[in-house]
Amino acid sequence: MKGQSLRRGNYEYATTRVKAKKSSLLTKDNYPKLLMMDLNEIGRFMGETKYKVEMTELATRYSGVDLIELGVSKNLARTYREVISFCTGDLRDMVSTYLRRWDFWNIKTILRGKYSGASLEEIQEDLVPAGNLNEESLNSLISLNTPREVLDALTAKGDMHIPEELLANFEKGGTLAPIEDYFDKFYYERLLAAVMPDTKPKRDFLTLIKREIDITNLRTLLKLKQANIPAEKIRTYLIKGGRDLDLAELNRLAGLETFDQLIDELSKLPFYNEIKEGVETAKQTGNLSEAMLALQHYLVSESEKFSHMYPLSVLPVIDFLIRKRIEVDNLRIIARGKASGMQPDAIKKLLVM
Amino acid sequence: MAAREVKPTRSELLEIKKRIKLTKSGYKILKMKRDGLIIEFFKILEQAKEVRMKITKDYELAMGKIATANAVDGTIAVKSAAFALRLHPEITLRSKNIMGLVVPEIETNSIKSTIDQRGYGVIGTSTHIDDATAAFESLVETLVQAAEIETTMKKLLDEIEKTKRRVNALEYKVIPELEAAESFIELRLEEMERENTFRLKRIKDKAGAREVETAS
Repeated sequence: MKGQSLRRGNYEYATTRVKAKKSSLLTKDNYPKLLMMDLNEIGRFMGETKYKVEMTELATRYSGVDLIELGVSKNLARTYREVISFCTGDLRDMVSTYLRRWDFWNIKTILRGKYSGASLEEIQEDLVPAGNLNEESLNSLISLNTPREVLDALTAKGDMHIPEELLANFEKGGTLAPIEDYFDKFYYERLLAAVMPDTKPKRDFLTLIKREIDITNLRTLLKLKQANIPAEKIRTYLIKGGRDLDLAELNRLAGLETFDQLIDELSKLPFYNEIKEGVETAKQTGNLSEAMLALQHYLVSESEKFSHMYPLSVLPVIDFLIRKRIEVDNLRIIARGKASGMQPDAIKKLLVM
Repeated sequence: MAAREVKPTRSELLEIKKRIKLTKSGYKILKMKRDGLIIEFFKILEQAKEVRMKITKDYELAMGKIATANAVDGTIAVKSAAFALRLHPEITLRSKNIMGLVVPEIETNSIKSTIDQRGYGVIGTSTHIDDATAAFESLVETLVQAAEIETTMKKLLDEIEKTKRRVNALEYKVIPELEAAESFIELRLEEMERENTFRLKRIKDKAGAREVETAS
């Protein structure tokens, strides 16, 4: 496979490091306690955990909920980069390709910032350098003047090809949306190509990625169907390579008349029971929030299930990356929820535990 | 107009009578306009109350949605999504006529958008951000509607006040003054008539006396 490292990764060392890191993640019983705390108490609590370094670094510039949010984001970026740094060989290739989603996230933010004329500081503040592109590379992209220059710089690096048609449309006064959607598709395409299914754990990792593609496609389908977007338009947003939902099936679902019909069709999915409650709430209330949360829960449970099967493989590493992301999301949900005066029960519903 | 400044002539009396007639019909029309404006005002007031309530509701909903989006996706993601759109909502300002009063008519067709028209990618953006965007679009639309209604209401209030002042001026100043001038002229003309009759009588008496003297 092109670009694939032929060296075997340091699975034993990396999974041991990850296991140690996983043990320091917040446990489920921490969240009810955090829900009962006020913002200052949450800040103090975090200052006594592994977030201490980032909280201290940022405390001079930020305070309150902003400090918590930026602190956890910075910690996430640092942790992910550390994981990439201690992985070697094919393991490093897979992990860093998996974390390229953060590169695309940052590239999207830079493009949007350049597009709307945001200042360098504003863009810098919104970056989470948790992928392969470090702060230096991102800063060099930020220093460019226009979105087109950023896109040209990315193409010049050689690891990304942006179709001419998309660039031409953008130049003609279009928005960045088609380019962003292309990045999301490109990410999964590259991720699928980066995992060589030569061992059982790698095949399971591929299954996990394919399941994530299924979930991403389902999210897209649900929200576009609910918004009554025409089927031919929906089809342009679907990502190929899913496990249970191939492109033909997705196209069929996109062509269904109504949102309710789509919900009924989802009952044929093998993992329907896992998402049933959220999906049925969406059918009754029209609110997709619980369905999206159910899909997220399902993905987390799948990654956990796989991680226990092969302790010396890429799977526990990926499981840690997902769990770390969820911890950071949960902390931010609690802090932001508290700051905006949401009730603990409402905050609890948004958490992934 | 002070009655004393009026020339007590028949032509002036005719002129004043004409003006009284015109002023009274103007007064009647203005009174009808004032009443009409008040009826319009109460209609708009009802709409203004409804739109105010809708603003409060839409605002609360939008703030709730943005709070959820900020919590679930983070302010970083929300700010990043907001960067993706460079266009600002455009409005078309027209005018319409309510009983002679020109009020604005604000039209907008670029506020509400579908998920695929918001400038950010569809695949990678969460439903919470979509919901917050939709809620704020709704809020902006209601605000534009409120701007139209409240400007109309303000203009109507100003016009009612102005019309009321005019009606009062006609009722309590212009018409009474004209009527006073009319009475004054009529009085003076009657007076002059009497003086004339008296003068003629005197002349006739004098002429009679002179005839008697001549005959004797």
